[in-house]
Amino acid sequence: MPIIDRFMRLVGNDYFILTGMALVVFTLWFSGRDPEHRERNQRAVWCALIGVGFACAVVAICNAFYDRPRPFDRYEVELLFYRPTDPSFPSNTAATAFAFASGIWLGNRTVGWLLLLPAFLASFARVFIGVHYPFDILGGALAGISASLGALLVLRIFEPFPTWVLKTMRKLYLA
Amino acid sequence: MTQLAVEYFFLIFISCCGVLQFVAARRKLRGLSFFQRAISGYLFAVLAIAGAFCWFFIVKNRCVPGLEGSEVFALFIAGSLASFIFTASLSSVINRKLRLSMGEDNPSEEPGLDSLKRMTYFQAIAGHFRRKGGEQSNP
Repeated sequence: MPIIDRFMRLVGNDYFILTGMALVVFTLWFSGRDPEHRERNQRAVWCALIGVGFACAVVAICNAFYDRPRPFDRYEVELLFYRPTDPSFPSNTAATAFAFASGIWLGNRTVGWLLLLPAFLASFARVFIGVHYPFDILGGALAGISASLGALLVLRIFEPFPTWVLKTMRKLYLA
Repeated sequence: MTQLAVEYFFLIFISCCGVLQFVAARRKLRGLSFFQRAISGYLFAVLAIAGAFCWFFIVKNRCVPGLEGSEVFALFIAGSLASFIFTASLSSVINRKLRLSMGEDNPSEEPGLDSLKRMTYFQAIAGHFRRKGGEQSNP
């Protein structure tokens, strides 16, 4: 159906869902019932941002060692998207979206669950429009979740540096 | 690609301005708000975010190869920073008559975003550096 195709092209493109998720993360930075709650949210935002960085690094390393062709390279598929030239496994979009969602989930369960919904939607759309296999999505999601856990570990190891950064930002009225 | 980068920057800039007005209205951050009434802030937020997304995604086909992930990330950071600077500057001009309370009335109060409930961003920063200067001259 053309309307479903258009919807999937919208949510599966490189910007829509990820930009929306990043805006939710930006909102979360300024949100919180009280200063303690806000600080928890801000730590979650740090975790998500570092997690996204780690997830991109994991995807780049995987791409360097394993060049899996895209589904449209092997099969006759009705492609609803442009032809990406980078390797299919793991999905960069899924890795980034799940790194965002799980990074936030580690600090704020409610918003984390909410962000998982667009992460699943974007991942499903990438398969629907013909640019990924489901296994690429699974690999991307695992990369994103483990990157966020790694980010949480890094933040704990480097304590009190994250606390100092937050305190400095608070002094400059940015947090 | 340069045009796409500029357009993406504006998408982020306008959306983040909307987000900041939403936050200012919701958390009653008078010093960061463009409007007297919260409902105007919410309305601005909805129009800015929905308008920017419609303009970016509906007016043009975005299913084309374009920006790398790192470029998107850098543009997001640049756009959100620019929107904060713009919002802080404009709201400081609009609300310049807000009374400077912290630093004069309650110097021991914890700084942070909550201070923007009573003063503008520029007043807060000026108060911060005044206090710092005072601490250095009276150790």
